[in-house]
Formats: sequence, structure tokens, C-alpha cells
Amino acid sequence: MLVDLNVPWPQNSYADKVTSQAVNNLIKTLSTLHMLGYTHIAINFTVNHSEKFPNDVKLLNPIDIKRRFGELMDRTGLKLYSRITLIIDDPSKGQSLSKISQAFDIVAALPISEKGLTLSTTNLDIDLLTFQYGSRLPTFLKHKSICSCVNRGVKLEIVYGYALRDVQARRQFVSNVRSVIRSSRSRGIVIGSGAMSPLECRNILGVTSLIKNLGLPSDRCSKAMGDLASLVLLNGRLRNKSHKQTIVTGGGSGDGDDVVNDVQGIDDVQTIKVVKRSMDAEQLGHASKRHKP
Amino acid sequence: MDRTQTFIKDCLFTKCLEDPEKPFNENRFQDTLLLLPTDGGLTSRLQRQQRKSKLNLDNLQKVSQLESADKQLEKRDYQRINKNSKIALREYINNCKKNTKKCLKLAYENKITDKEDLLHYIEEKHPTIYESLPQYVDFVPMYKELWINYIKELLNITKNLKTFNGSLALLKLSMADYNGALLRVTKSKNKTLIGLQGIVIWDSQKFFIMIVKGNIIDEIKCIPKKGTVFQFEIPISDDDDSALRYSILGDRFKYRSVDRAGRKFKSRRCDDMLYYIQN
Repeated sequence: MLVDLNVPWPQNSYADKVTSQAVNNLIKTLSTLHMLGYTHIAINFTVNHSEKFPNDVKLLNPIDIKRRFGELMDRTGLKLYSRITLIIDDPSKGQSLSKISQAFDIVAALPISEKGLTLSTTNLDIDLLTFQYGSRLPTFLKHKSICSCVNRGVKLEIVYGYALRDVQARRQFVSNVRSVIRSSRSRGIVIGSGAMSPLECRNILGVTSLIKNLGLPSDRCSKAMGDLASLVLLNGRLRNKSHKQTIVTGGGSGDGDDVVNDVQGIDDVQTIKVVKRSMDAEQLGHASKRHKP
Repeated sequence: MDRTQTFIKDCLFTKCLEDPEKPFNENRFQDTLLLLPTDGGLTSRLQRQQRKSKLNLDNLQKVSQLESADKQLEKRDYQRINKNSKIALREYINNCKKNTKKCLKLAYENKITDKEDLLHYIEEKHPTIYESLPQYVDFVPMYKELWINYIKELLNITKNLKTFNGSLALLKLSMADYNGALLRVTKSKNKTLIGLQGIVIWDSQKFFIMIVKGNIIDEIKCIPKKGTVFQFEIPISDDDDSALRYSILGDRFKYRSVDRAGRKFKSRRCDDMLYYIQN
């Protein structure tokens, strides 16, 4: 599986309106990514943490994947997920994550101040830590805090879209990525595109050659877009679809029957999965459906 | 010896002793040599006896014959009963495994390929083995009558699923009892386990002990929870075909059902569960 965790949603706050042109542009980007071999894509809604969130859980997620992209998913077999990125400036103003995380598959944090960075590396219950690669990092990244954060299971994200825009952003991107790789000792890094238009998408070879130049070994690059990124998806999906990672809704027998791959089967509101009965006490116990690798 | 030299007395004893005149504390000396009483070889004898009386099922029965039944039910013996039941279970499992192996060998030697033929053959020729063979059919009512009704009652499942609370059901399922459940291994690090399906007869800390229906003979299998995902289904109603499907992540489920009841689970980093999403 090839995963892209960052395709921006054309909305920067809840007050913004979504135009159909922007959504069409997004669909074009998604199908380009599909052409390049991506199978799992997360649509990223970036919002300020101190902003006022709607009270109703249903209004919390403006992306509405099933209605807008259901046709695309059926046609191409892409798996789409929703992701929220919270811009954290002053930790005292934000509200609790537990309610927000119910509506989204992945929760990411984007600290823009030193306080925000310490909060998101220590306390917040998030899946991803990302930075604004186009501008200066909020503070010098320390190995101790970043690595303890990675040990907790939070992954660091590199967004290569910034390297493709203008010269100033590219210069910052290089130094920021190098500092992220240095402080994390190249552990727990995932790579996302952040592509605003179809032209900014790259396939795995292009990304690997870019990031390899910046000091990440190439095997880690391919892991960053495959295994580690799918672990982020797993972590995020398990938060809502399971009780503390013990009992999960849905099964895991056939292809795409587990929590991550099963996007359409699980009822999001009730978190149940209704299927036709396939298990019976009269069935033979072994090798009834032996796995063929 | 009594006359200490002046140099020693003045320079050394004054420094390290309270009273330089009396360098030795007289209380330290005793008139007689004390000897501790010995037990006359009792400890070594006890140790030998302990080694001899290591519990197994045979001498366990002897013990229970000696002691009256009501004495065993007293609370102070609880620990011992508990210990014995553990041994009995282990012995039962080992016995079953041994006998199924013997049966398979017999089937191979006599070229029997049918389950019923084999059972008849063993019943006639080897009645001792037949008695201790685990029979899948015996355990089916445990699932069909006991467990399904229990879990339906626990989750409050009715035909109308509109009012069903999914997250509450997940919470209840994490504390539920799985003795008697029909589980299937769907994902595992050990590829040979995938597809196994059976009725749980004991839910231990690190294993699900299941009875598995086989082609020729039914077997007892101990399936480790580590690195395995189990799937189970709860039928919504008897006449309908639909069911609710859930999975147990064995890696996060390594507690006995007793300890699990009041437990607060915690999410951890899930790097060890990559096998779950890979095909």
C-alpha cells in the first residue's frame, strides 16, 4: 500500500465556503495521485486550534467523504480518509481533542510556537506532528523531546509540496527537513504530498530521490510512504472504531476487511458493522479458508 | 599481653577506643560456647518429601479421598483448590493432545479416512482412549445455547438496530467473557494459524484454548493471543441471516477474563500490529 497523508482541503476555517470548482480541482488531484500508484489518501483539513468549533458532532467534519467522493472511490478503488490538522499557537486557548477526534480519522498537530511544540510533543493525543516547512521552525528541535514523542507512537510528517512552489519556501524547506531528520535520528518519519494542484504530485521514486538528497536513507523513504504511514492510519482508525485497541468493529479475513481498509463497511455514526453470517459452529475448524500468500 | 605498650596506648587506643585502659569489651566474651540445637536432619527429610509429593493428577485424587469434601470448601484451602484446578486443566489438555495423536496414528495405520468410522473403531478397540477424546459436538451447546444468549443479553441486541449504541457495546465486549465463544483467526504473524476456527474452552492470560472441529478428529489447540487477530460474529436474530462482526486484537487482550472485568485499557503505539493491515 502506498499512502499519502496530506492532500489539503480547500477550506481554512469553518466559516469558509467550499466552491464546487475547488472540489473538482481536488478530485483531479486525487485521480492524479491514483494514477501515480497511491492507494490510501487522507484529505487534510487545516484549522486553527483556538477557533470556535461547532457543537454538533455531525457539523464537525466538513469534508463529507461519502457524499462527495463516493463515486470516485467506487470507480478507482481509492481509500479516502479525513484528517484534521490543528495549528497550535497558545495551548491555553485550545479545547479538548476528544470531541474533535471523534469526527476525523487522523488528528495532526502543527505547532507554530515553542509552547505549542512542547504541548504537542508531550501531552496531546495525536497521530502526527507536522510543521510549516515553508517558514522558519518555531524553535530549535531537540532530539530528546522529538524522540520521546516518536517513542510514544506519534509520527513526524515531511510535506514535500513546499519544495515545489517558490524559491524562498524551498530554501526553508531544505533546512527544516534536515533539522527534522537530525532531531528524530531518521526514526518515525512519514512523507505526505500537500499537493494543491495535480502538478505537485510525485510518485514514490521522485519523492525518494528528493528526500534521500536531504539525508534520509532510501529504505526509510519507502517505509515512510508505506508501512509507517499506514500505521498512522491504523492508529487513527483504532481510536474511533475500537475500545482502546482491544475489540474492533469489523473483521479481518478477506482483502480489505480490516479497520483501515474497510472504509465503507463500518457505520460511522453507530460504529457497528452488519454482515451476512459467515461463521457457523458446524463448519470445519481448520483450513476452511487457508490464507494463500 | 596485659601490659600494653605506652605508645600503643597513648597514640592508637586513645584515638579509636572510648576507654584506652580497657581495649577489649568484656561483655563480648562468654563463659561457655553456645551451640544451636539442630533439627536432626528434619529439613533435608522434608525437602525430599516435598520433591516426592509434587502434585499430579494421580496423587491428587488420593489426597481428596483422604480429606473430607466439606473441608476442601473452606476458604483457607482456596489457594490449594485453585492450584489443583490449574494442574487438572493442564493434565486434561496434555491428555487430550496425546490421545488425538494416538488416534491419528491409528487412523493412518488402519487407513481410516472417515471420522465416524474412526470413532467406532476406537470405541471398540481402545475404550480408554475413546473416553478421554475431546468431542466437538459436546461443546457446541456451550456456544449455541450459553454464549450467544449471554452476549445478546449483555449487549441488549434487538431486531431494531437503530437505537443500538456501538461504542458502549465495544466497552462491554472488552469486559465480556469469551469462554464458549466461536472464534476464528483472521490475521496472524504465524501464517499457519490463519483460518483456524473453534470454540473457546478456556480463556487464559496468554492463550485461547480452543476445541477445533477436524476432518478426521477433533483437536484441542492452544492459540497464543500475541500477534493474532480473532474474529467473531453475533447473530442479530435467529431467522435472519445478518450478524454483527467484531475482532479481538490479541496483542492488547493479554489478560485473564477475571482481571479484564475491572480493567482500564490504554491505547499504546501500534507499531507491533503492522501485520493486521498487511495482506
